[in-house]
Amino acid sequence: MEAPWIFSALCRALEGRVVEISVDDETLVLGFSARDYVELSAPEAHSTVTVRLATDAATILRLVDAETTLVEAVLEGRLELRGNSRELVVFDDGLALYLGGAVRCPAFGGLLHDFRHRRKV
Amino acid sequence: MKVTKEVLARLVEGSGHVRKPTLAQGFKEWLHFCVLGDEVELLANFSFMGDVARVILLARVGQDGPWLGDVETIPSEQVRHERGRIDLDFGHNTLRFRDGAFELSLLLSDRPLALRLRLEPETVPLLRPNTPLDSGPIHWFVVPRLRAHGVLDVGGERHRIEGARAYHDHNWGTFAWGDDFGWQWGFGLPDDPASPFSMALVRLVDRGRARDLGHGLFLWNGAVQQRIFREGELFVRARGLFTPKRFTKMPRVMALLAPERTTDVPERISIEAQAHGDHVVGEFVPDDLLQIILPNDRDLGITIINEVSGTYHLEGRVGGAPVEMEGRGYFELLTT
Repeated sequence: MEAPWIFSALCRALEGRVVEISVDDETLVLGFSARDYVELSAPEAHSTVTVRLATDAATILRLVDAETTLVEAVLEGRLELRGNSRELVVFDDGLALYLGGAVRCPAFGGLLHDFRHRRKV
Repeated sequence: MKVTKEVLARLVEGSGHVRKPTLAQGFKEWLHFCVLGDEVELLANFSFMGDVARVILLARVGQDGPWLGDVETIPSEQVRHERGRIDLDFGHNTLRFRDGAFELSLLLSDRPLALRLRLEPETVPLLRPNTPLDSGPIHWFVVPRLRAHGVLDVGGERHRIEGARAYHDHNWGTFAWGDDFGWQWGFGLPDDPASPFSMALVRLVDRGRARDLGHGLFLWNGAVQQRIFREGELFVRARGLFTPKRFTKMPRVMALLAPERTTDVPERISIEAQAHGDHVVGEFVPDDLLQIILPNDRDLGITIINEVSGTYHLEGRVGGAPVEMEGRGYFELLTT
């Protein structure tokens, strides 16, 4: 793990929450405790999800390449967020922590490279 | 002593070599090049942040062209360097010093940008070691004037670089981004190739820019350094706020963490230096902004390096002789 202090902060921020992330046809559901996360089965966790994020790979790449912003993507319907307002605020804090960790982890460059090139195949 | 190409080469190799140690926690080092061509302006940079190696290649074609390129992290198994030499392999990106010139070859993996360049020093370099910061000293080495030849490929379109003005600096030390320091760092090269002058300016400040930690204005006449204006002799004043026509943030992903479209880059930077009968005045006026955004080392904040390009003029008298230079340059303004 390359940024354990940020991972800890991320878990604490999202403690007790279940986050569902859908990108194109893939869905990932993560349940957070104070110190860790577990991957949950999407159908089983459906009713416990706190925040749902749905988007596509093209929008993720446009965000990463600074061709659009999160606000623009939401307003244009290319990134959808569902949850009550309080949980969306908490999720936003968690997302900022996740991004703060990602840019501090050298391995992320390779992950992004692979993600970008998988789309081209 | 006549300053020959061989003398310059020995000086560069002797003081401009890579310092990165094997155990590099907290250590930072970068070798930075800026080329001011008629058609192309570009920034190229090889860096170590601890053991993480990165290359930066950013270029714009024409003064109004967008900034192209990116910052790329190089997998550790693809990095080779030799301490004490100018000899770097960062994947397929290389930096060498051979036959009296820097030789750069960069090819970005995810952007259609490639550079091959040879830069020949034209001035004696300046080495300034051990400038103290709270978390450790920063050392720097500058060659303010080089002549660049090569090619830049942009999306399959080739742009030749022939005899373009260029600048190089090399910084290293053990310190942390986000600590209590900032800097204003500038250089200027004359538009007229017959003009013998070149200059560099450095001002280290604390994070709030309320305390000056050290500064200097360095003037070269031809190959040799002509004058240094130091603390108490140099006054730098910022006026107004610059309104950039665009905000370019690199690495691009950092725009997600720093989406702001405001900046505290000044509209003008005035310089006045005076001591022992020597006096120069000048002004730098920005015309474009590029932000290099770095995550802080010890907290979740960010540090923004504003790379500000623009025009400048400087005039006065040094040693009884006139000094006059006008051209393009860059100011680098660090904001935390």
